[in-house]
Amino acid sequence: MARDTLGGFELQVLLAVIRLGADAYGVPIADTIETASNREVAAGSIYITLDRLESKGFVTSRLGESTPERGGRAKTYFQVTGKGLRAVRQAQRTLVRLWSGVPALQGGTA
Amino acid sequence: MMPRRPPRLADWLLHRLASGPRRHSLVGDVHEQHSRGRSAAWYWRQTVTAILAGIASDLRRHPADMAHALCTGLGAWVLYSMLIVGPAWGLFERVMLDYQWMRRSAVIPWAWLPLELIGGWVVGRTVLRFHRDRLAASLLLLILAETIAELPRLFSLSANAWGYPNYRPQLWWQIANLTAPIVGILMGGLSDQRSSERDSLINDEASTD
Repeated sequence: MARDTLGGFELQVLLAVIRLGADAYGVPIADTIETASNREVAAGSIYITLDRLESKGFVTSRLGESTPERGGRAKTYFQVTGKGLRAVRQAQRTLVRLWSGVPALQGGTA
Repeated sequence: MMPRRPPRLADWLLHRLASGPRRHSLVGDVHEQHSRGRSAAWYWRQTVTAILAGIASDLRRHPADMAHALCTGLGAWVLYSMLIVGPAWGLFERVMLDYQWMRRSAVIPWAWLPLELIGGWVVGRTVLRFHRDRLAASLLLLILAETIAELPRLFSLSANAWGYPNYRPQLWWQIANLTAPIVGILMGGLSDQRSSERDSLINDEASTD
């Protein structure tokens, strides 16, 4: 995958981070994707994807608070960067263009 | 409210073999979801997926780190062989010359196995010390290297033992000789005493909250 483009799961994770805003850490990110896709999401895959997004400069991270139910371990919060937002818009434009070229999928009847 | 305890073995494995600098947050996330009602089977699925996905990601995305980990482990093995195994072999040879009965017995070959086990442990601890963030993939690479190095001898002995039962003790010894360092590598690599102490402290603090 090229450094400035987004893979399918990367796009899902990045959209979840954008939706959650300041509350974006592993658990709500997994919940958001699971609710939207109706599939179980592996926490390990989310962290690997977030590491990749951070190395591409699409998100930044900061260490947050810990709670007893986490066994005292700190949360890591993620925030989208300007570069990440531009990458999401680019992916959206690409998908919309591709979508509009497939009449069978218009209107969600297929 | 007391947090629910996750499955002990899965938790132990996840804590030691989860990959990356943010593995503590990952373990915390899995704990948090489990304490909110996810099942033990879910915890096991998360553990296995996190470890396997971590290994695949480390091998694919961090080849330089992996090569470094392999060199560190092999370097530790070479150093151990030079400092411990070499002199020990010299001593064993002298004993075998002095006591002819030992040459015919199986004492010497089997007495060699603890040295192999300790050697594996030293390698595992060294990798744990220097490559903690990519431990699972590093240990896997070292075990593969050890297995590949021993395979030709193992195959030739198996072929001999197939037709000549006299070779069977040698074959068993060779299998044990391959297994001992692998067990040692796993014991050394997974003996993360400092983290387990810190974790028990964290859990103590959590349960008093």
